[in-house]
Amino acid sequence: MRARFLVLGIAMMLVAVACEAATPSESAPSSSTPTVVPTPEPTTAARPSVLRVSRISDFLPSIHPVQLGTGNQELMADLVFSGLVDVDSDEVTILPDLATEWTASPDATVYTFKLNPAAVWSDGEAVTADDVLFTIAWAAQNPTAFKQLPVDMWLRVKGGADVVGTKNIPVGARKIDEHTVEITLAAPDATFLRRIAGAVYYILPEHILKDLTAAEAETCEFCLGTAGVTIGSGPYDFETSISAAGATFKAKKGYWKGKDGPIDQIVYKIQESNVSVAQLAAGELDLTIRVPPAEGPGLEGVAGLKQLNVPGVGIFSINFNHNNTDKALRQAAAYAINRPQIIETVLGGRATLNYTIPPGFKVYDDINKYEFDLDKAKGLLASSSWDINKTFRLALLAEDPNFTVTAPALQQSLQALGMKVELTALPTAAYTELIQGSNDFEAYLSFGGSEGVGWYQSEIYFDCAGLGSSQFKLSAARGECIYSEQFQAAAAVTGEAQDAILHELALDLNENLPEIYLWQPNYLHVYSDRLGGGFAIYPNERESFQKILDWTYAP
Amino acid sequence: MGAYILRRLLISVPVLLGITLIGFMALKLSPGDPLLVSVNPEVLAQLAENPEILEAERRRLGFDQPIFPNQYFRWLGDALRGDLGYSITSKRPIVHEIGSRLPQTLYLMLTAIILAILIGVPIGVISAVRQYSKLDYTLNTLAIFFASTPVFVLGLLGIYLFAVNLRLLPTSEIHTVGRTDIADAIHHLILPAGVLAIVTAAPLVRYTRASMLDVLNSEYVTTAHSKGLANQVVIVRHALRNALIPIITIIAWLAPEAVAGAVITEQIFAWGGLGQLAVKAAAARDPSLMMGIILITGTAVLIANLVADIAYAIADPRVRYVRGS
Repeated sequence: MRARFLVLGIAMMLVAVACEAATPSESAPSSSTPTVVPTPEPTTAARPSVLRVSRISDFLPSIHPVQLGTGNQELMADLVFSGLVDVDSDEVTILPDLATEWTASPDATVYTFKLNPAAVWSDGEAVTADDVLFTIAWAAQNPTAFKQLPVDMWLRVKGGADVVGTKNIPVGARKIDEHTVEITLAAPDATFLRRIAGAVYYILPEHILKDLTAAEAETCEFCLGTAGVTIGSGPYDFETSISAAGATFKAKKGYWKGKDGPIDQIVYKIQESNVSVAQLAAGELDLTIRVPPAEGPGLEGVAGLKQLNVPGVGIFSINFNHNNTDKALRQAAAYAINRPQIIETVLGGRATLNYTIPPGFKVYDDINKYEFDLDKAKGLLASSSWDINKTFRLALLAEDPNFTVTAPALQQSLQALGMKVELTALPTAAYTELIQGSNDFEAYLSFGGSEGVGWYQSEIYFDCAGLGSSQFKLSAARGECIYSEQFQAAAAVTGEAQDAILHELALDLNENLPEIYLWQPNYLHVYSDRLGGGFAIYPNERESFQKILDWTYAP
Repeated sequence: MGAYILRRLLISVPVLLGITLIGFMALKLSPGDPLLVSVNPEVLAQLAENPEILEAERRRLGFDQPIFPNQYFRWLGDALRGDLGYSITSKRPIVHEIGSRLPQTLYLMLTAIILAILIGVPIGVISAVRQYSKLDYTLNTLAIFFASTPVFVLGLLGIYLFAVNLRLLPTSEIHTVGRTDIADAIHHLILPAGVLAIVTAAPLVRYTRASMLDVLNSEYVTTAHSKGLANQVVIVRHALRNALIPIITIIAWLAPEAVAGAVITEQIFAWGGLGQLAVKAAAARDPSLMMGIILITGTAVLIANLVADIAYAIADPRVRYVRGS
C-alpha cells in the first residue's frame, strides 16, 4: 500500500513540475485555446521577441567563405555579414547593402561601388574600401582555400591570377577613396552584380583577419562563428556560437542602416526534418525552411501556421560517368524515363517537370523534350555502343529520400529498355569517393544546387578547368571547353545577343545530355502567421534573410 | 576491496586498448576516404586537379602512414596526453566536441537508468510475490509489450500524445532557448528519460520476477516464514537481498544497452548528446570523432562492470575479493 502511495506521489510531483514548466514561454505562439491576457504593468519592459527557425540539417560548422557551402551557413551569414549588394525576393532586382549606389560600364567590365559611410562592424570600426579590397585580394591570393562554394567573381577580377600566393591586391581592385571602390573584371560579365549578392561574397573585416592564412581560415575562432569573436556588419550578432544544432543571434541596437532587426533574438536550429515537423505541430517553431512536401497535409490544421509550397530551384538529375561519351545511350535513357508519370505516382505531383536542359534556361521551342517513347529509346540503345549484357551501375546517396524514393522507378524505366540496372545506395562518404575517386560506375543520381535561379548558376558544372571536370568531361572529350566558353560568352553580353548564345548552348546540352535533368522537387516552407511586412521566402531559400530588416513580427 | 578495485582497473587497461585497437582498425579499413567527405564534391574536382594539395592534407592528418602501428600509436600517444585530435567535419577539438555533449548523455542515461530501477525492481518483486494473480499477468503483459516495442516507436507515440496533442511536454531538446531553470530542464527530460526508462525497465521486471521466484521457493525463505517473520521482512530482508545479485549484473549491463537506446532516443528527441554525435560522426565518416566516442563508451562499460562487481559485495557479504578466494 505504501508503495502505491509512493508511486502516486512521484507521479503527482512530475505532473506538477510538468504543468509548471508547461506554462508558455514568452516567445511561444498563442495556442488555439482562448486565454485571458493580463494587462502588463506600466513599468514592465517590453518582452524581447524571439523567432524560432529551423532548416534541414545540411551543415558545415563554419561561417568563413572558404567553408561556406550549405543553405544553413548562407542564411546565418546573411544575418551577421553584409555584401556589397543584396538581391530582392524576385532573385533579379539588385538592392543596396554596404553599397548605396553602384555603376557598371557599358561593356560590363568596370563596376564602381559607393559604400555607405555609416557602415560599421560590430566592434564599432568603420567598414571601408580597404575591407572590400582585402576580401577580394584574400580570395585571389588563396583560390584553392575555397572548398565549398567557389568565389569566381573575385577570382575574375583583373590581375587576380597574378597575386596567387602573394600578399598583393589584384590591379582590378582599386580604392578610389575611403568609401568608393572600383572593380575591373578580366572579362566582361553582366551577371557580376547578381552573383556577388550571394552570401559567399560577403565583405570581411580587414582589421580582424588581415594576417589570416588559408589553413587558419578553416579553424580560426572567427571563422567558426564564435559568439563575441565573429563580428560582421550585418543586422545581427552571434549570441551563442555555431554548433551542429545551430546558433542564436541577437539584433544589434542602433544598426547603421537606420533601423534595427525586427526580431530581438533569432534561434536558428539545424535539425532533422522529423524533429522540425513535430516542433511545428506542437507550436514550438515559427518558421521552417524546407519541410518535406509530404508533411504539408499533416500540418494544415495547426493553428497559426501558413504554408508556402513552391517549385524548388534544386534539380534532380542522372549524371553520367564522364568516361562514357556515347550520347545515344544517354538519349535512350532520357526517352525511357516517363518523368510525368514518376512525378505523379511516386512524388505525388510535388515536383516540376524539367525538359532536360539546365533549369535556369528558357525552354526554347526547338528543345527536344524527350517525351516518353520506349520504342525510340530501344532503337537508340541498339545503335549505341552499350553492351546490354553488362550491368549498368547507378549510384545514389542512401540517406536522402530524394534519391531513395525515386531510384527504383528510374531503375525500372531503364530495365524496361532491356538494360541490367543495379542500384548502389551508399552513405555520403562512400558515395563521394565513388564519384570523385574510383569512377567505377556508369551513372549517379544527383540532387541540389540552385540552378533554377538563373542560367548562370549552372556554369560551375560545365567549367572544364573546375567543377565540371569532376562530373563529366564531355566538353573536354570533344577537344575543347565549349560549354565553359559559351557560358562566359553569354555572361559578357545581354539581351538578344545573350539569348542567342544561351539558345545555342541549350540545344547542345539538350542534344548531348551530359546530365539528364529530370525534375525540380517542390519546396514546402511553413511559417507563423505572425510574420509579415516584407517577409518572403526566396525561390533560392538560402537568400531569404537578405531583407530581414523589412520583416515584421507580431507580438 | 581497494586492492581488488586496483586490480580490476589494471585488467581494464588491456581490455580498453583492445577495444580501441579493434575500433581503430575497423574504421581505418572500412571503404572510403575520410578526407573526401570534408570537401564539397563539386569543388573536390578543382582540388583533384592539384593532387599535391590533397596529398599535403593527407600527410598533415597522418593518413599516409601505415595504420598499425604508426597511425594507431600516434593516436594512442595523443589520446594519453588528452589530445583526441580534431573532428574533420566540425574542425573543433574532439575533447571539446565530446566534453560538451557527455554531460547531456549522462544526464539522460543516469536519469533513465535510475527511473528504470525504481520502476523495474519493485514491479518485478510485486509480480513475483503475487505470482499467477491478475496483477502478475497484467504486469507481465505490460513488461513484454514494452520490452518488445522499439524505443523509437514509444518515443514517437510519446511525442504525438504528450507534445503534439496534449501540449503538456516539449517535443524535443534539452531546454528551451533562453531558459536555464530546473523546471524547464525537468520538463524537457520527462519524455526522453521516461521512454528510455520504460524500455529499460521492462526486461528488468522479467529478470527481477524470475530471480525473486527462485529465492522465494528456497528453503531458507520457508524457514523465515515458519519463524513467524512478517511477510514484508521476509521479502525485503531475506528474499530481495539474495535475488539482487543476478539483478545487479543485469543492471550493469543496462548501461551499454542504455547507451544504444540513447543513440536512438537522442535522435528522436534532438537531444544534443553523445548518441546524436555518434550518428553524425558515423554518417560523416569522421574517424577521429568515432574513436573518441568508442573510447568514452568503452570506458563507460568497463566502469559499469566494475561498479557491478563492487555492488556484489554490498549486496552479499559472502563475496570476498581476495586473490584465490
